[in-house]
Amino acid sequence: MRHQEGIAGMREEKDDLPLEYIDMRDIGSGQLTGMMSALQFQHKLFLREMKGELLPPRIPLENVEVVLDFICGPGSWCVDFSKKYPEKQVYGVDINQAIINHARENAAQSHAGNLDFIAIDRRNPVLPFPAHYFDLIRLQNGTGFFTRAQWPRLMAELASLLKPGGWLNLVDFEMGPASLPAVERLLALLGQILARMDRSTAPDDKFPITGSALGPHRMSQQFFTNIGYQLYPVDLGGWNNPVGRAYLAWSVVRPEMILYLAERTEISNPEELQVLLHEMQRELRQIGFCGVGMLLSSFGRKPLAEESRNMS
Amino acid sequence: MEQQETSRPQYWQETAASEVARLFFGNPYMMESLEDLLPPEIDLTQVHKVLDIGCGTGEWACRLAKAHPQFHVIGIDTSHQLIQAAVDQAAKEGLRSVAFYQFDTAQSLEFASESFDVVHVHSLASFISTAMWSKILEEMIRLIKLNGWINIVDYEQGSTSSPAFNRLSVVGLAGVRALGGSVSPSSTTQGVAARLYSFLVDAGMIDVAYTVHAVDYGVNSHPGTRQFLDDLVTGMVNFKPFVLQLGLIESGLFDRLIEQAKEELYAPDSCGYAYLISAIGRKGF
Repeated sequence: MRHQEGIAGMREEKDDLPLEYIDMRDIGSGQLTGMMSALQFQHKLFLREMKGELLPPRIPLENVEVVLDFICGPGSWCVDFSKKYPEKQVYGVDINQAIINHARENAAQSHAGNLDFIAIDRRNPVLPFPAHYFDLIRLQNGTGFFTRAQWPRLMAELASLLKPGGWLNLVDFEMGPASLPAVERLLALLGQILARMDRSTAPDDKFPITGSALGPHRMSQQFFTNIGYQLYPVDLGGWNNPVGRAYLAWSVVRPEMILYLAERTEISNPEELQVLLHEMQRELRQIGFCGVGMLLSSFGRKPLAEESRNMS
Repeated sequence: MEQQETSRPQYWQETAASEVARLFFGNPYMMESLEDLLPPEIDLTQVHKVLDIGCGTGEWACRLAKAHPQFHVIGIDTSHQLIQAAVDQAAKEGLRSVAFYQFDTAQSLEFASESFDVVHVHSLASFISTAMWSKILEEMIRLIKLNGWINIVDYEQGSTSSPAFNRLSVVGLAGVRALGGSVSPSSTTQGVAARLYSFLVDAGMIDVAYTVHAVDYGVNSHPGTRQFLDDLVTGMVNFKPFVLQLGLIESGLFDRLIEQAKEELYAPDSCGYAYLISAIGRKGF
């Protein structure tokens, strides 16, 4: 019943924010703390799947001094990175003040290095830094966060914030096939929702594909060089993998998120969804459950001034 | 006559496009993406006889025979043409420990029960009719020795940076569904690869596990990617008659999408991937 109230409560806001500005982490009252734990958990899972690499090994770090983690969430990556490289200046930026407060607490508790967190206005998310400020910018889950229409402007802004020769790293998770019907059905619904919210790159709008594979292309449109990417398959099932199953149930198909977004986009109804979500919980307890996804980490380097001149 | 047909044990009932599919999937690049020819759980010192069902051109069987000359490897396939290619390949490489045979889909396999240490199936799954799965597993389990392993590997399309290729994949998937090769009624994935693990669990096998691998489509990712992309597009072109016959797409549009997909997949900033899932299970007491 609490869900119902939460959704009813959000209805007042329904016409307040356009779909493209929904912060999918901050929905429904009292959900934020749980979501922060889920995001910290996601960071640990991603790091496990990326074999402990905080950045693609092909990005050289010797000359990197100032780093931005855009949409930093509770700051898990920033904390790990600043502990490993205490001599580098790290900025974590998010559009959510409450999340930034969490991030500051986390950083204080963990004796992180040279680290600052900044909240920016979510309706007008302009980054408060001068041009050519960063040696490295990282953006995780950007394809779920920004609409397809927003990406060209976003990429231009990130490129302008980078120093010539600075690096950009885009990290995204995409869900792949799963073995049980309720999970499959929920993923198909999520695909439709993302399509309605202008985040889908699936040709038939029926699977939650958000365009992580477009990272290298987006960088080449900004004339970046040294473009490449790495793939990390992520296992979400198996009898001995509670971490993967929990990630699927808490983050990929997060019940509060899918209920809220289905309501906002008018895809499916709460009763049908409640049944499916309940069924998913049952399916995820089956030994034979298998589900997989892919982490894609793409990177590129902003051209040096003389490289740009040669191109024009 | 029809009566007689259905009363025969149709263990290896195939769907119409299976030969095209095996050519497409039995690609060297797929083997390289798998990393290990056999999952590390299998103790190779205990392996003597290996059966590869639906061996296609013998790519996997030849690689295994080459890597482990002490194994006795048998590859079988329903296609005379593919078996001939496999035999030629083995002869060319001078492999003496591998043999290939054509078999009849209407018969159960002519091997004695409990005669293999490992039975392997690679990407046969995608195009075998859904209803056949439990029967096929039963037959595979019959063939392996006690404590022997079944290893099933299959493929599922991920996403790519090429809109044309993504559209063609969806058309191809609709074709697979129409031909009875999809086990997933509720989503847009084919669903077989993700179910291999549960097939083995449900068949009562022990030590069941799976691993997931990425097949990287990026044209500059690996030395073999360009050749693989050529084969991938050829595979799609070969599938054209099936999707046209099913009325899933118009011929001119199909051709235009193929041209566009080539351009997009071969662009220097192209990116994409597929999943390979390799599931294993052991025959217990």
